[in-house]
Amino acid sequence: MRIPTEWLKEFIDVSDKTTEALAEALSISGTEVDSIVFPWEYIHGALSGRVSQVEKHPNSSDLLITKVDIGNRQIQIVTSDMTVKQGEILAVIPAGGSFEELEIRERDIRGVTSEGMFLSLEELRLEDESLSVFRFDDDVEPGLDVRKLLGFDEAVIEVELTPNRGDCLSVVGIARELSAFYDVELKIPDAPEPDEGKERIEIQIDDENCYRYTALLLEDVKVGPSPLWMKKRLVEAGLRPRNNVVDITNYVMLETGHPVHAFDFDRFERRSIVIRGAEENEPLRLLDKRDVVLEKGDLLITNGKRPVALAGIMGGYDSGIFEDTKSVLLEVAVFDPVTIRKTSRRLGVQTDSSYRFERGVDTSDSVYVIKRLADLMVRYAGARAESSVCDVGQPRESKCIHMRKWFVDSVLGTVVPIKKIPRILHSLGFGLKERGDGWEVKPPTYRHDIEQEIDLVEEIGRIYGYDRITSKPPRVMPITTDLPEETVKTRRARRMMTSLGFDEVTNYSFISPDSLQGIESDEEPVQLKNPISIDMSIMRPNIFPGLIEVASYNYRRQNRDVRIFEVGRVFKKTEELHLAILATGRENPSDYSDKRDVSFYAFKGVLEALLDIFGVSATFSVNDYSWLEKSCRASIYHEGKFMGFVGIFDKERAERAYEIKSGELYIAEVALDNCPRDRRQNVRKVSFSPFPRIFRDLSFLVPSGVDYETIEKSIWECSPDVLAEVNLTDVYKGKGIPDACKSITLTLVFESFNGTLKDEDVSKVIERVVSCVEKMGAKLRDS
Amino acid sequence: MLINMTDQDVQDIIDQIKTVRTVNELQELKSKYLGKQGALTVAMKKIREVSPDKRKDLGRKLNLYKQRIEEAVEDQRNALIEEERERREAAHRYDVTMPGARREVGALHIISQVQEEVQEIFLGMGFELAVGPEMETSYYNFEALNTPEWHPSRDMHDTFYLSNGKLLRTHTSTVQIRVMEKRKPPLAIFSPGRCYRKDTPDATHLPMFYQVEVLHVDKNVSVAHLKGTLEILAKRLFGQDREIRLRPSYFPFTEPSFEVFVSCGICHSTGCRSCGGTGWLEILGAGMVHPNVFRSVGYDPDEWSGFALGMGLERVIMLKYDLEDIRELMRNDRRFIKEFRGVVL
Ligand SMILES: [Zn+2]
Repeated sequence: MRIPTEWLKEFIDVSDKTTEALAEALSISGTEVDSIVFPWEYIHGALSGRVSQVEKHPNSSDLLITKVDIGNRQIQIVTSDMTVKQGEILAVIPAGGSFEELEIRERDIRGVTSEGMFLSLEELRLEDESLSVFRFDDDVEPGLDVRKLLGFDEAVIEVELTPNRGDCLSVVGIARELSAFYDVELKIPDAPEPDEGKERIEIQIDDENCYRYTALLLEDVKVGPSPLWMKKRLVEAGLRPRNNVVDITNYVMLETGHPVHAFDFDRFERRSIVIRGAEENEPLRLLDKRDVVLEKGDLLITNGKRPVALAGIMGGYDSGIFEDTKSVLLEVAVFDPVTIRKTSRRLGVQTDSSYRFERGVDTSDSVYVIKRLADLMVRYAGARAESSVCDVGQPRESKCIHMRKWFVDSVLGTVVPIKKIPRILHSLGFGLKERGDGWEVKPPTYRHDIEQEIDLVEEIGRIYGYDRITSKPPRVMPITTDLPEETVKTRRARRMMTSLGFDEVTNYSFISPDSLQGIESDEEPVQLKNPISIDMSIMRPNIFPGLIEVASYNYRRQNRDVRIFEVGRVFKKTEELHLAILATGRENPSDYSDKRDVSFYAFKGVLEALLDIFGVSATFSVNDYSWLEKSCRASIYHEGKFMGFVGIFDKERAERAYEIKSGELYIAEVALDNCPRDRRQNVRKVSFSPFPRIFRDLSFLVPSGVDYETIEKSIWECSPDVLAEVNLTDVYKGKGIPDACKSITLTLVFESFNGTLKDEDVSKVIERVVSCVEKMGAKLRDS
Repeated sequence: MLINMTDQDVQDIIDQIKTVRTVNELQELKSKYLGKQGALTVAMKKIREVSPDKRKDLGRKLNLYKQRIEEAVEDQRNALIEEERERREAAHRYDVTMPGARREVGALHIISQVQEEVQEIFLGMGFELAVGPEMETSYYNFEALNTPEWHPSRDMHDTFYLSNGKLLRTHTSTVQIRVMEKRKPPLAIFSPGRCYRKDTPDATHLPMFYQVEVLHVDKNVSVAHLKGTLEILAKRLFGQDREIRLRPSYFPFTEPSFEVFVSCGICHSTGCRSCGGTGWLEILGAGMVHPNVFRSVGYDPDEWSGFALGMGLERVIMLKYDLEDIRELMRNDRRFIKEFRGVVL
């Protein structure tokens, strides 16, 4: 909301304060100040000028040449406004000044020099379209600063109000805040009693969501322009001046915070007002020509037959103010905030009026507001009261609150001087009576946000000043609980993966449905009902699609060596913690001596190192995921539980959908929830023998159909407990090895807890091992 | 060589030692003279055969010879080692200016780093870490936090709704309620995590962001304790020379509510261009837990009081690292991530 300081000063004497000081005072006491603006800064160097001579332009019948006295000198201005007359006082920007982005310079207009420009109300932004220049009163001296003359030199404070402070949505509301802060008087002028009109308006409230309805009928209204000062204040507050009737309603709303409405009563057809709930599907054309269809629960102002306004939101088109309006019915009403909000939301119609009603409007000032309206209408729209003030409904009394002194001090953590408290609350309009260990406090009727004791503590705190409270360290007890499992696992995954040379990335939790195309799942993914875009409309059931996006983003920027991971939640029926890994490009990008690309086995090695630290004894088995390369895709299991997958992302899709045209994309994803909390929880004591170990190498020729796992399993199954480890130490294909075969070398490690093993014992075991392995189709190579 | 060894004999031995070219030869020579069967050792054993009156002088002389030979051997050994070293250096010199075959060290995303830093700060103060779901019910996100359905304060949170009937939490304050429902005071918790608001991404907004929510409930917890906690947070997160300032604000679930500002690190609150002339930078929202929130979890607001604060990590990152466009955080450009490589404990 924009508060013109010049308007503010009508209600409070702060002439000794700078605008910056006022802004700081507001911000200290709880009204956030966005900025200080000078709305008329776009006019630079404008002076009042007396037209001393007017001549026809020799080369154009549409132009005049004027001589203008601007105080210390006379300049010549060519104008297209043929109504300019000698002796008039105009607003002039002489050469050297500026207007908006335009530097005003001497220039030639059809052969005649022009040394400046005249300003119109349009250029002063006070009306939409001007037909002639702006004229000052005749007694204005030439050579004076136009902005000063018009009062266009004062700042406007732009404030951001929190939703609880509906009472501050007005100039008076902000003045009241400052009066409390500075402890100076708030002066609200009385509105004169309008002349008693004979007419009476029948008002009937048929819906409890209208708390109060006050009306006054005016006749002889002359619709025309508003006075300059009013237009100026409206413009400064951010509204566009329309005509005097509309402007006065806006002006009073800005001043008092109470939304008001003006009907053309001649278009009303009937002389009564009934406020009622809408019928289902009842139609109404609004002032902005929007047609809306109403529902039960919406609140209407009607003439007893048909609706004339959507209560608190917008008037109806049929009863709007037009240039020929003569009879005006003024409405000052108060409606239920929730009712207004529901309708406004549903229809998508938010107005200055609905905004204020949603935040609560004072029920006690209706009569004052209508008198203020009537006074301005009489003075600036030639109106005459045709009726008396008709007022139905009751002001709502505010509830008294018992406030205990010790409670104030204990919340604020300081002892507030006891004399300060009544002073602060009085200045904010609260009533106070001492009672027991504190006071009985009666909030002003416009403070809908004050409901309980704590609300009063806040009022005292913000005016007393939080800077006066001395800070104390928190009195927190030692932690006795464990870190959540999610936190522990997330940290572990982050430390492991960065140690293994992978960078962490962060992706949105929502992804595009495209990225899940063809990715089998036994659950429907969770969808956003109101996404920002289709690309962010599905809650991710897996993390890896985001990693592929990141790989693609970097690939397209010549970063082809990508080794990344993300650990975070995925969203299914419940939320699970996943870790996804991706690698493509070189294995060691920062090692010039290593030109190798990542291999599947290197990638799987990373995964195994990670899973090992997570206490997972993983088994891998080929799966049939269609979005992975057929030659390289596997599911991971731990103690029979599905843990995730590893493989090469479908190369055709990588190229088509992600523009990754070279190299393999290795991806893996693991459900960390299925991992033990800590692998060490099962480590009880040191489990290796103190006696020497015996190492034996065995090389086998293995046909390509036989998996490594088969070989290793067969070794374990036929060995006595002296076998401690089986390690793969070499894999070889090529010279001397038949096609469709590979040679693998295993190092078997033997140990006994009972004593030193003898060579011949080991040899016996080896014999058995060889025969077992050969049964699987492999063949021992001569060493 | 016998007991009647002369100075000349010793000099010959020393000259011989000086001609030796290898450590092995040197060792052999040493044993020849000084070993168990060495000439000098044998001679010294024979001293007993000499008449007692000469024994003393002779002993002293032989000892002196032994000492001189030993010194010569040592000197020669050092010379040989030095020669060997020079030979190695000449044969093989490493170019220490050549880049190493460097190991890749992964970088943590800056959001994780800051999140862990904040975690360390609160764990250090004795706050427990708590987590809660991101897919939430309206009750935990709004109603229990004193934000009824048609209250205008809902405008502060543009919410994403889900096909499963839940919504995406708009703040981590939800965890407050979940913890308080299960436990009795006193408690001190904090809860980091992802939150969501329906904001179109721009330089200062993302539809998903990271927040850390802090809650402390005990008897007589006051604004003073909140200020103390905020000071520790600001000093540890931004630097020990920083100060904080409270400005009254409004959140439905706290009262009084505050916007918290930290003094500008460049001008130290005197005002400069980087802080927009104000000297203070807004970092988070905080306040005293609203009695209605206590009532919704069955705490007696006359017995217990508490403070809560909620801090957006993106905002912290913007201030700490002069990040002007937070969308950068979600682009995951390798260069951006590597820029922030570092180690957090
Ligand atoms: Zn600064």
